[in-house]
Amino acid sequence: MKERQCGKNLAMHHIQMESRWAKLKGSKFEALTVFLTLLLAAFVLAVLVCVVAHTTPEALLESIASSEIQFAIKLSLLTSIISTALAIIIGIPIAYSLARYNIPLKSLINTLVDLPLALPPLVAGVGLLLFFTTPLGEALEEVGFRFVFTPWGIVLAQFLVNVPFTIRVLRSTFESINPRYEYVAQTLGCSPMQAFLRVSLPMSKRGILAGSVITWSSAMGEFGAVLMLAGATRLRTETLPISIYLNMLCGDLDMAIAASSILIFISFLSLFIFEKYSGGHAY
Amino acid sequence: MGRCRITSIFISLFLVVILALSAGIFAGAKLSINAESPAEPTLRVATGSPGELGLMDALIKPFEEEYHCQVKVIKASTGQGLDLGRKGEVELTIGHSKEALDRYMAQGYGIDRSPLMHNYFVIVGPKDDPAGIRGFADLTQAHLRIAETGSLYLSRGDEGGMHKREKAIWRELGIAPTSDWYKVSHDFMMASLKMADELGAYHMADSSTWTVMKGKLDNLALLVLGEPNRYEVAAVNPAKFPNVNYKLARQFIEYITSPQGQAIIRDFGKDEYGEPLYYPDAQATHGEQGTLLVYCGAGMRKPMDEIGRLFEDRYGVEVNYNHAGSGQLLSQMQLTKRGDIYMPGATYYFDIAKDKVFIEYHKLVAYHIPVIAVPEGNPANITCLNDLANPGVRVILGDPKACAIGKLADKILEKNGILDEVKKNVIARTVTVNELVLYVSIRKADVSIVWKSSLLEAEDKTDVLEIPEKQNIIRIISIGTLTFSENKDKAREFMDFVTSDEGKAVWEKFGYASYPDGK
Repeated sequence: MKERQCGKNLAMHHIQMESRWAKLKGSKFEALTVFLTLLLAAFVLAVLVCVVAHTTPEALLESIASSEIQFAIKLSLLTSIISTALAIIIGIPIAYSLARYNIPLKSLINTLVDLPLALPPLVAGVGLLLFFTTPLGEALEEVGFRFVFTPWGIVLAQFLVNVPFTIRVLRSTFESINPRYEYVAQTLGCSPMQAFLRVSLPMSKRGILAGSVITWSSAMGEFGAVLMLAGATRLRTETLPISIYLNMLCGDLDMAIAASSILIFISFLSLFIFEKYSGGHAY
Repeated sequence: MGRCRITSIFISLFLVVILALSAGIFAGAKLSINAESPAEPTLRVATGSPGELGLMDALIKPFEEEYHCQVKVIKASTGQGLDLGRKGEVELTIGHSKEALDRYMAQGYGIDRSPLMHNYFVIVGPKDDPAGIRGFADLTQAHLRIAETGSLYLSRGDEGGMHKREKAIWRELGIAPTSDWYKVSHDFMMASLKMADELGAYHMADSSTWTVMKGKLDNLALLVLGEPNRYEVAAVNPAKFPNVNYKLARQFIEYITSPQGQAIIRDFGKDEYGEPLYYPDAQATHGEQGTLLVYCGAGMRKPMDEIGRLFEDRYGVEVNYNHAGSGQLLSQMQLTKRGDIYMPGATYYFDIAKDKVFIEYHKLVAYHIPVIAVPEGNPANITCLNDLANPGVRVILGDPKACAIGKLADKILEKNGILDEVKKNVIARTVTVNELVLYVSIRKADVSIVWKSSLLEAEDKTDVLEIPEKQNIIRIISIGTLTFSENKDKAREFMDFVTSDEGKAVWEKFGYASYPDGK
């Protein structure tokens, strides 16, 4: 009896040992990971505080009230809202098609659409600038589509860099909605378009809102592509990030900090909204 | 037992004999050393201020101990020292007149000539600086200002090395000083400095003597740090005078040019005066090399890159550039308080840097000439400056806060009364001149105002229109060493190299007119 149980006991013991070992390992591992997390959080916080706390609140408010920063705020808001609206309007049908239909060469198209996401925005900007030196680009400019050195260039640059992001968020939203709702709507007499507009679109409201906010936030912060295509001309193509750049390199730290602080505030706000509405699993 | 006793007596005796003998040997040896000491080999070295300021004492002591010899320093100016060599009355001469040493070597009296160290020619003067020469790095320019303003000047008038240098400057300028502002001391450097202090006069000296004396001079300030004053050492040729101790002279030269000797030179006076009196020359490639950080306006990248490479080859000092808009560089310097040299595209930024006390010494380098740049074929038919104001012309200019050409273009347009009209045509402003050239050459703008030199590599894609001198504003490029440099000596050498004949040749190669010039 004892002999027979011995093997069982041994196995039990082994399992116990292992779990104890795992526990022990787990606790050290846990401590390490938590420590790293806290360290990074503290570092991020320190970096942000450094920006905001570099000047006095009075100087900060004064800089924010200056005509240059006011211009930058208005231009940033205007261009980013337009480019976000465009990204959403164009992104919805594209995301829907990628989520629902079997397109030939789907994976290749997917990769191409996603590519600007992985590409440094500067490269996208150089590409855009060079595009407008080609005969096609020149012709577009002749007809009146002027993008080089203009605020429209800012919109275009923001759009190109951010639209893949919008599409990704929207696509995963559509993918999370069961197509059977649309089938049911169609059996009840809706056309496919009506089914989309009346059923899927209202159901993806939260995802679209989250996508808009995150797209808008990164449009506000877009720098590299804007610099290349629209240039950095004071009071003309001076968005908030361009304002940071111009004032930083001319030694006007207060102005640069004012613009930075506004962008930090916007980032916090939009991240908060995004987390709230996307449920944390938007893409 | 008896045998034992006898043996021990013998052993004792033996020991006593040995002790006595060894004592005798030691005493004898000691005697012989004492007897030899008056005949210890002697080395005679002729030199001027390095002896006066105490450097020679610091150098000699370790040498005397190691080689069991005596070194005698004979106080003499370079000319006198070389004459002593010509008579075979010294083994070595340390002097600071290249021409005199050249002659000495050519005549065959000298052998084993070697660079040793340097200090600098300086001009000191009244603290309020009536002639306005503070910060000049060029002795000739400073002397010209002194003469032009008729400011009181004290000359040594002793036909020594310093006086010879001074006379050469007046000759170069074609100025014969007149007694109403020109005084003569007929005395040595320390005494002359005191006299200049009492008179409130400008005076040319060397940096080492100034460093030692400045604590005792109330009214004078260091105004100009001129070119290096280089000291060399040469032995007397044993073929001419077999009686000189050439072997010891040779050992002394090897010693003072070794890392050990050069370190003594480098550290001499540092503790007492807070800065070195002399800068070693002999171990330039082995000693402290360091790197130089040069803040250089983006428009001057090409000539400065080439000059930097030449300098690295010559001096083994690595030169790192920070190329950006001149204003951008200024703010970088302000934030980091690091680096050795500043060289912006326009004096405007240089003056700001001077006001902020970033610049220690400066020199004028070359002329920077603004021109009108258009894409090849001139699509907007620009013929003169006024055409920039024509309706519909796409003008691109530099950002006036960020780069020198932006600031200057606005000034030129303002001078010609068309700034407001042209501003309506400005489609963009850039941060550096190179961007302007790029945008014009890819035809994204019809016209720009850029430095002539910045178009050098874009010749096939752009056309140039010169701006008539009356309408134009030509800038002089300045270079300056930075007050927070940790490598001031090398920074100074680099600045001198940029303005040397070799440097000037590079400037001209890249389309600049070097300074000074007839223009």
